[in-house]
Parts: sequence; structure tokens; C-alpha cells
Amino acid sequence: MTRGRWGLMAALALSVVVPLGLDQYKLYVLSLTLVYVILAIGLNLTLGYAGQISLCHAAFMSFGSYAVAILGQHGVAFEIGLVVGVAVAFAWGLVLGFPALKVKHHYLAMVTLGFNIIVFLVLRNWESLTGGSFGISNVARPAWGPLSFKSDRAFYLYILAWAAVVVFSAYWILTSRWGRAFRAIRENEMRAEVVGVSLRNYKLMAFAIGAAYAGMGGALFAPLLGYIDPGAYTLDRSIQFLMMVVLGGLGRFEGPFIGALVVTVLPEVLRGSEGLYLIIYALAVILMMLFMPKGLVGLWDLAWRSSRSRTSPSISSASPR
Amino acid sequence: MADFVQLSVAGVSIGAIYAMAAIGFVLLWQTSNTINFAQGEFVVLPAFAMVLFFVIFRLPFAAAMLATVLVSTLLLGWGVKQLLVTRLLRMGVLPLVIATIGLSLLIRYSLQQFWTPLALPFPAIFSRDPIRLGTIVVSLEEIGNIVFAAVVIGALQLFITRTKLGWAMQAVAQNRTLASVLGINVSRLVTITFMLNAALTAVAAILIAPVYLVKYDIGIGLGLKAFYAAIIGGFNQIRGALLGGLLVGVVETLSAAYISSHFRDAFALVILIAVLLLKPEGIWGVKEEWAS
Amino acid sequence: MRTVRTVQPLLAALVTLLAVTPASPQGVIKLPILAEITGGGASVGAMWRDAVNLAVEDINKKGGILGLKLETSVQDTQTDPPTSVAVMRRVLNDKPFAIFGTVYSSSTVANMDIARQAGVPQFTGSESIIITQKGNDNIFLTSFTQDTGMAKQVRWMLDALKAEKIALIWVNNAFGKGGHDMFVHFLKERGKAPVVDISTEVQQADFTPELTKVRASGATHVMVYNHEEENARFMIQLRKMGLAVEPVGETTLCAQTTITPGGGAVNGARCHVGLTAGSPVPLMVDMSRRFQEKYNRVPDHNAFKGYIGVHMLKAAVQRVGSWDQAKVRACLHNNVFTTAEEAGLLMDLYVNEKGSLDRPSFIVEVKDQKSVVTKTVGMLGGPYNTRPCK
Repeated sequence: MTRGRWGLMAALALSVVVPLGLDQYKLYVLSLTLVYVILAIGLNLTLGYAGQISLCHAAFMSFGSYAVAILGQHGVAFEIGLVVGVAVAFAWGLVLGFPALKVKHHYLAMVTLGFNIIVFLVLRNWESLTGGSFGISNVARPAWGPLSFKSDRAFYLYILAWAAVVVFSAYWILTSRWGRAFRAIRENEMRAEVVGVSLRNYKLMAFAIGAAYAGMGGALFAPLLGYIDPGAYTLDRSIQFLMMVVLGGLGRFEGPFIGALVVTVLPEVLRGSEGLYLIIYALAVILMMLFMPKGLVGLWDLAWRSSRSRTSPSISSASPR
Repeated sequence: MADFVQLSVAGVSIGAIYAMAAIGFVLLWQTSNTINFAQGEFVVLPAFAMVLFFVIFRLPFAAAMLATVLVSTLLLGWGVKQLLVTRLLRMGVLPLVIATIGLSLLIRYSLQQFWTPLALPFPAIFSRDPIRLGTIVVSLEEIGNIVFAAVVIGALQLFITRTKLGWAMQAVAQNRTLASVLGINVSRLVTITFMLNAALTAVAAILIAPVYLVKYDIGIGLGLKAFYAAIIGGFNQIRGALLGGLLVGVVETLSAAYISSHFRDAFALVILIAVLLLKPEGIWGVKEEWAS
Repeated sequence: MRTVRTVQPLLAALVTLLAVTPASPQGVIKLPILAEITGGGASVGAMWRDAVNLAVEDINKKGGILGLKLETSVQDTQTDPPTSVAVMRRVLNDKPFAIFGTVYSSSTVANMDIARQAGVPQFTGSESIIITQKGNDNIFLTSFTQDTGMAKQVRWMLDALKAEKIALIWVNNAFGKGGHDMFVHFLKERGKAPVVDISTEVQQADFTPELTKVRASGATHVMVYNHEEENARFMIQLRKMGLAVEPVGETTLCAQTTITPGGGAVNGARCHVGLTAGSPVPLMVDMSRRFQEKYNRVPDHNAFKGYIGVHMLKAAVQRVGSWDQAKVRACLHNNVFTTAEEAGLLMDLYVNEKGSLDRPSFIVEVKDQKSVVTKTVGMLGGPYNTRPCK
């Protein structure tokens, strides 16, 4: 456990030092990857650990984005916008968690998918608030008096700080009794109830916390891009997050990092092959489900095991069910 | 009033197509607990096959249609069952859901990449000449779609209620363990259901191609609406899916005309969420018959 | 421990990947193309890319600009605004002289501020009014914005077509909304309003609600402003219902990508278009022929836009007389450029203070599934003054 924590610290130190020498393009890609990591961690909590399928992560994300963009237009500090966005996402996560208590996977997939569509329609049609199809531009980056995060390097570090908060809080949640409860829900609802896990609260929380992380990712996404419009929060993006989490490894702590990295970097690697990367993602998702439900993390495990033939206990667990 | 009738006919015509996709959906769920997120693409792929056979190879219509249904049943029915479902079925609902999402993306992107990102024309099957009944204008195309769908759905209903295979399917839907104890080969039945579904979506494809045009992304909306229809009508009944499909078609047409075109995509969803919260087994679903 | 095991090599891999920067030869002018090569805008981006490449090839064959050769590179935005921002930052690392792209306005709005901060002039295929409303003096359109286009559209419909009652059908996204707002605005200036005003969705299949309302309104003309496939479906259903209303549109209604799937149903539609392969202008005919020879397909308006954009840059650089980005930017505002000084512009054009264009346009009619130019329409405003830029 402590060694795992040291690992995280080392990774954090690296991610502070390494980018200092990077140009603005690489910084931007790293920043975007970090935002996606935050979102993917949220979805991994809901889907990977608690086994509750959510197809509306883009909608939760939009709450964060629009909160900072709209409040920012009225001169409200970025952090307040972020907190509001996270709170709204958390609240809607709770609301959507309720059907999760009542209905099974496929219904839940449908409810969340429907929610994403409705949120998109509201963002587009509520022009006086959201700017409608034209969106909101010049979303401001945070500034604390004379200390401004407007430059790419400063804003990268700012995102990194929030990402660290997310990573450590997720780590804490998953190693606490909450994490055990989430996994118990996924593995077997009946047994979870028998051993005394209150399904109701934990299921709601798995949804709401995942949504809150998505809200935070969205709040950081808006000023990173500087411009938002409803088209950025469609079902397509929710499915993109789903692919990230599945590719990385469902229910594995490292999964979101790998997934986010692959989705941002693979198109660069496959440059010149036109749209093939989309086909490769889709194929990879199917193959992962068939042969390697642990995702790309599983590959690494395999390589590690064959070289050391030793496994260490960790906060990951068996294939999703 | 005339407008209302006009809109309702259009709604029923498009709803009949949703119903066909929804029925296939329900069959899959009943016999194999598969939530097919690729149902929309199961319609798109045969539509492209139809373009290949009918427009490019210039086969006669009946032959092209037969070839399309055949390709669909083999590829999307038998193939998908053998390659994906058999293995994933043992692992529960979620991996299969994710795999079918992957499958839908695979089909969609492949068609876009290797065939065309543009819409392809498709010749009308029925005549499009307007038939005027007072102020109501219909065409053979609308009537044809409705009649054709009705015949296919009727035949399917007969198959399920009157044949041995149909009875076996019902038995599997109600209790898989008991069915296998009774000597029913469940795996074979699941395969047959997948092939049946693929045949249904192929027929739906042939009906919608002239209206929707053939484009790689038309499956997105279609799959969603089939899904709505199945849930609204009831996931365990063919007649439920039929009712759901017609309802979704009519509601979206009427609400766009009379309530708000800006929110046209939301009305069917609102009904869906209401149904889920108030009567999760669906309007016409029956609780006791739930497949486990 | 497992975490650090995974994260470390991952970071190492990332660092190596990011550390690779392509080297570049000296003495060439870099003009990166940002285009929608994959994703929803794939067909649009391909036209833009191919036409920019054709223009650069043409210019290089004649010795380049001020003796320097041009060099393009293609960056795919995946039709995704965040990715378009990423590739914009990437190409700026190479110190390009100007940037060509993007075409989708949601991408352009997101990435154009970065080009401005870097001081690198950007030529876009976008037409949305949201581009010019931002007060960005670094972005240059290669066609009309929707306000110029719709002003000419309304003038034509009211004066030439004598349209009395107009129904407006528009797709409810940034493209459709921008066009809708401008169309209604200019109708209002003439004391009119659409008798029916209905929004549609992207990927919509059934248009009975729209057509029923159009029929009930007694409209004489229906202005159709959707994307190509939806226009084709709309026209098929309009003919099926036997409506007597006359369909009118702009570029998307009479585009070949609407006519091909729509077939005979699109015959009879009349449109006001900015650029078309069917244009009788000899320079456009010639460009269209060479585009077809090279790429084996008919250029659409996005192809013309890309081709003209490169020549706008050429004309401005020549008029300035040096490779100075600030001067070129200044030269490209409030100025007239003619085909006499630069044939590649295909038509005379005026760039206004916002970077949008005014130039002649065409009225086309779809006959036998081909769009045929029936009339050329002059510039909207003017006469404009030509400024020297030395």
C-alpha cells in the first residue's frame, strides 16, 4: 500500500518536472490527456468498479464546462465555477443513480443515454443561458490576483494539481471500505447485500462520485479549449470515454491513465492512415471483451508475470461482471 | 384533422420500421440476454448489401433481396453469435453490451472508411405517385411499408406461437435452465434467434433504404428508436415491441408538428423515462414472464 | 507497487514520443493544412485539402511566390475541436507563414485564437457568422459569411423570384442557426417574415411534420437550409406529397451531394450559390477540369474555397512585396483583389474589415440532375477601393 502511494508520488513528481521543457503543443496534448484521465477515472469508478453502466459522462462533463463558462462571463472566480459544476454533476449523478436502484443494466444504459441526449437538447435550445448552438467563447483561465494561470505551462500545472486531487481521492476511496463495497456490488449484488453492504447508498455514491469527477474534468476542459458548444457533449463523446476506460482496463486503477493516453496518442501514431484508428479502437474494444477483459493493463500484467512469475496484491480485481 | 391523419399515417409508416428492429431486439434479449447496441448497424449493413446486389450487381429485385437477407443472416446472425456471443454469454450482461457497442462502431466506421462517407441513392420499391384522398396525400410507399411490416410481423408471431421451434424459444425465454433440462438445445436456439433477428433487420433495411437513403450513420437514430420502442412496449413481448415502435413513430411525428420541433428528439425519451419509472416492465409487458 | 511499475515506462514512452520533432528544409514557405480528414467532416476536409494542394502545386510550377517555393503538410483534426486545437499548436511549432483550415466552424472558433496569438494568418473554409463576430483580425474567410450570403439570397428571392410567402426549414445546429438568423433578419429589413419557421435535426429521416406545416401555410416558396442528405430526403418527400411550393436554397440544396442521392426529386430546385463547378467563368472551368484530372472527382464549393484561399495569400504577399505576416494581414482587410493581378483568385473579390468576402455569385437550377448556372449576380456592395500595401 505505501509502496503504491510512493509510486503515485514518483509519477506526480515526474509529471511536474518533465513538461517544463516541452513546447506548447506537447503541453496542450499532455493537458488534454490529464483532463481525459480525470473523466476516465470517474467513469472507471462507476462502470469499472461498481459495474453500473453510464453513457452520459459527456453530459456530466458539460455541467462543469458550462458552470465555469457562464459564471466566468459574470466575473465569478474559476474555482467557484468549478465547485458549482462539480456540485451540479454530483447532484444529477445522484438523481440518475436512483433508476440504477430500480432497473437492470440495459435499462440503466438507456436511461443514461437518454439523459445525455436531453442534456444536449437543453444546452442547444436554452439560448439565453448557454448561447445555444453558437456556444460560449473566450472561456477564461483561472487567476489568483497577480498569479495567473493563463500561460499554457501554468495552466498545465493547474490541471495537474486537480488531477492529483482526483487521483489521490480516488485511490483513497478505492482502498477504503467504499472501494470494497463497490466491487462487492459488481461481483454479486445478492452476496453484497448478505454480507451487509447497503446497496442503495453505495450504488448512488458510485454514480454520483463518478459524475462529480466528470464535472471537474469538464470544468478544466472549457478554459483549456477556450470555446465550448453543445456539440462537444454528445453521446459520441460519452462513448469515447467508455472506450478509453475499456481499453485501459475496467476496474483497474491504472486503466484510465493508459486509456486516455492511447486515445489521444494513437491517432498521432497512425497518422497518414486516415480513419483507421477509429476502426482499430472499435476492434480493440471487441477483442478486449473477448480475450482480455482487463484491458491493456492486462497485457502489462502478463509481461510482468512471465518475467517475474510473481503477483502482488493490489486494488485491482478480477474481470468485470 | 386532415393534417392529423396525414401525420399519423407517416408516423405509423416509420413506426412500423422501428417496430421490426425492436422485435428483433426483444427476441435477442429473451433468448440470450443480449442487449444489442449494434441493432441500428444491423439495419445499415444489409442496406449497403442491398445497394451492392441491386444497384451495383444489378440483380433482379427479388434475387437481390434474397441475397441480402442471406448475407445478413449468415454474417450478423450466425457469425456474430458464433464469434462474439457464445464466448461472452457466460460472462454476464455488461461485457456483451460493451462488445456490441464496439461492434456498432466497427461496422459504422468501416462503411465510412472503406465504402463512402456520402449518402447513396436507392431506387423506390413502391410507387411514389401521390394518391389524394381529399386533402390527405399518401403514397404506395407508405402503405407498402406498413403492409409489408405487418405481414412479416404476423408471420413471425405465427412462427413463435404455432411451431415447435417457436415453442422452444418461448421456453428458453421463460427459463433457460428448465428448458435445457427438458432437452432443448439452448445454444442452437440462440443461434436461430440471432439469425431470425438478422433477417428481420435485413427486411427493415430494404424498406427504409429508399426513404432514409443509405448512409453509414443512419443506424444511430434507428438503433436508439428500436431500443426506446422495446422498453416502452415491454421487453418481453413481441406485441409490446410492435406497440412501442408505432408509438415512438407517431409521437415523434406529431410532437414535432404540434409541440416543438426543437425538442422533437426528447418526447419519445420522456415517455421512455416515465415508463421506466412507473411501469418498468413496459406498457404491454407482463412481469411474471421476465426472462431471467 | 504495480502502479509505479506501469506508470514509469508509460511516461518514458510518452516522453520519447513527444520528443520527436520533424526537421524541415530551409528556404521554403510552410503552409500547413488543418482539415477534417476523419470523423463526420471527412468528405468536406478531403476537398479542402486536395484543392489547397492543387493551388500550391500550380504556384510552385510557376516559380512560387517572390521566388520562394511553398510546402504543405496535412494535419487531421478528426472533426473534433479539441484535436483541432492540438494540431494547430503542433503546426505553429514549425513556424509556418500561414495556416489553411479548418472548415468546420466549431473547430475554427476553438483554434483561431491560437493562430492569432502566434501572429500567423489563418485562411478558413468556415462561413459561420460566429467566426467574424469575434473581432479576430487574423482570420480570413474564403467565401461569404452567412450575412453576406443571406443578404444576397433574400434580395434574389424577393426581387427576382417575387416570393410572397416563404417557409423556412433549417437544421438546428450552428450552421443552420446562423443561416436562419441572418435570413430572418434580412427578410425583416424588407418588412417580411417567414410564414413557417421550423427546425430539423441532423440525421432526420421523416419530414412529414415540416411538409404538412408548409402545405397548411399556403407558402409559395420553401427555403431549404439543411445538410445535403437531409435536403435529399426532404426533396424526395416533398415530391411524394405533391406539394406545389417552389423549393429554393443555397449551396447545400443544389450541391451534387444532394442531387446524387435525391435523384429526380431535386430537379427544379433553384439556388443562390457562391461557388460552383458549373460556373461559366473560364478560370473556374479550367480549375475544375484540372482538379478532376488530378483527383478524379468534381470539386465542390469547399474545393474552390481552398484553391482561392492560397491565391488570396499569394496576391497579398505580392502586393506587399515581402514575406511580412503583419503587413500581409493588414493588406487583406478592406481591399480589392482582381483576377487581372492574380488569376488563381478565379473571381474578383473584396475582403472586408472583418476578413469576410464579397464577390459575384451564381443562380443555379437543377435540371436533369445537374445544377446549371442560369445567372450571375454581382457583388453585394461596392464599388470598393483597391489599396496598395507597400
